[in-house]
Amino acid sequence: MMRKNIGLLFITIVVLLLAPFLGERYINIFSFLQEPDSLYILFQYRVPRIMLAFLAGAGLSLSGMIFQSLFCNVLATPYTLGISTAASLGALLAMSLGVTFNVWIFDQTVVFAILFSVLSLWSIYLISRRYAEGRMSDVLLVGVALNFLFTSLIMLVQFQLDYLNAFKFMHWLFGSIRNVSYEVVIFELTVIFIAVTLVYLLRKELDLLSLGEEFAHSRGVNVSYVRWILIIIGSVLIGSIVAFFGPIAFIGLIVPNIARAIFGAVHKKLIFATLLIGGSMLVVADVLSRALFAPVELPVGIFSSVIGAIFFCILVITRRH
Amino acid sequence: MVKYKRLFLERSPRFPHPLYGEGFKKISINNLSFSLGKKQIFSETNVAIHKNDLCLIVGKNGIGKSTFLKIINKQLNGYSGEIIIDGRNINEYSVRELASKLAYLPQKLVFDTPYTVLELLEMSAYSNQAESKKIVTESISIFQIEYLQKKFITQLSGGELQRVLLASTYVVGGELMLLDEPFSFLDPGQRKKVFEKILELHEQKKRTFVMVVNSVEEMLMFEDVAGLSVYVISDGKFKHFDSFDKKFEKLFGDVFETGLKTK
Repeated sequence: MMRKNIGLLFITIVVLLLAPFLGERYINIFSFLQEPDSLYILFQYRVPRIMLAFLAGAGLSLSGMIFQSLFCNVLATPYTLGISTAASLGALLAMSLGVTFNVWIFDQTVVFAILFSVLSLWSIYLISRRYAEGRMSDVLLVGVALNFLFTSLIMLVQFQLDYLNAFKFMHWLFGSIRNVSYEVVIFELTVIFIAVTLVYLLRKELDLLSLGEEFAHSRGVNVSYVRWILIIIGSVLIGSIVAFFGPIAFIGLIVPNIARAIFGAVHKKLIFATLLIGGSMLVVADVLSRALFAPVELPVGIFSSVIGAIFFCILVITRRH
Repeated sequence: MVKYKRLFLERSPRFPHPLYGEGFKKISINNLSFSLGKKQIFSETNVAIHKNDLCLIVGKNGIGKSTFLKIINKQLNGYSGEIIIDGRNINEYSVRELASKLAYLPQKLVFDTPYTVLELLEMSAYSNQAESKKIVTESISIFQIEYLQKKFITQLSGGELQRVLLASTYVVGGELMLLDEPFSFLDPGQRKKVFEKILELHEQKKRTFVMVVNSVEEMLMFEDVAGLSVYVISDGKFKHFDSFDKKFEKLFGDVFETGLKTK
């Protein structure tokens, strides 16, 4: 067990140290001497980008883990339940309103994205409790339906726009690591730090909740409070990530499942495994999406969707065995 | 805010549970009425269960056997009447405090998350973490599940899972054990094993049981057990019997429209 921990930590550190040097232009120690601007690229562009990719991957994976435990289903994720799409819709609406207020790095985009993701998650939760009575296949189907609804609303908003803005939004919807700045790094780091702290405090409750609400209640978990806290943490995470990077699909599905397969399902370990694997995975995906078709930069959202969709199929087929 | 604070503090092993170790003496259900939609489930019924009783709850499907357990376990609200455990109304217990009085095993549990048996037992000790190690070891030896410890709960057979679940219910710590259909889906051999474990807890650990049973065979297994009470639910009331006597036989026949074969 110890070996696995050290292995994961080692991989994460290697990924984080190597990634800034890879990209359209390969930077190495010697290039600092020859090209002075490579230092600028490294610290103003590459390093914060890697940090953001890591934080976004970690945050999306963590929220995926929360949803999977909350809904007791390994296929429940922000993307499959339509929550990232709801957040996108919120962000899109806010953007099409134009800037109404602007504080530090925030405008109404962040607020709307968070608000919409909280609302959509809450509504799915209510539907699942009242009408689906915990039948998870129904809940997933409701999520799929809501996903369609939000997607068509997004198209409606886009249809109203002029060409330039419509194209900008479309590109945003691919999902990629942009808005690169240290301010965003500080913001995401704060959000994720608070989320991880709370989730870690609630690790035992999460353990029991992932066996079903009734079971958790019978073991003494105050389900209604814990559920509230978790729903808010999960959707704030999604909202704050989607607002800056667009909906990056499937990371939240793949990573918690990989982490569970390697480190077991107990949340005390699972939380950190999910964070590290999720972060490293998005960093790798981001480097690949920059480097594979250079000088064209592929949005990492497209890249992760392709891998994620295949993984999703494999998971559905094999999870009973 | 106070409640959230309590939620975090209560869990800490540094704050030993005020009620843990106090045991269970008596639960009384006074004037309980409850309806689901338009259907009246209970009307003004009274039940009192004492330490070391072994109660079987019998009744037609959908008459409210599981509902009764859920009400006691604070999963359902909207009833009228009062439920008092050891002198305190259950509304005054937090969920965690309640778990130190009573342990509930829901029916038909299907698990999707791959915990090992040991992990399941450890997390079931949620409400009394100060003594979790001790009670987990104890439950493993009582239920003889040493060989299952490292197995995943998603891969157990029906009988194995039921024993593991009983062990995990024992770990919860509450001395009043509410079991919802503990024998369903078990073959006769497994049923006997589970039955023996329940008797062992009843006789040696002085646990109190309230069980929903669904078949005549399950009921008759308990015929000679000391402290047996049988409750038949009909017309929204609990009807109490101490043994399977003639009167019980008659009511049973009326309720189920089939005879009861006793020795």
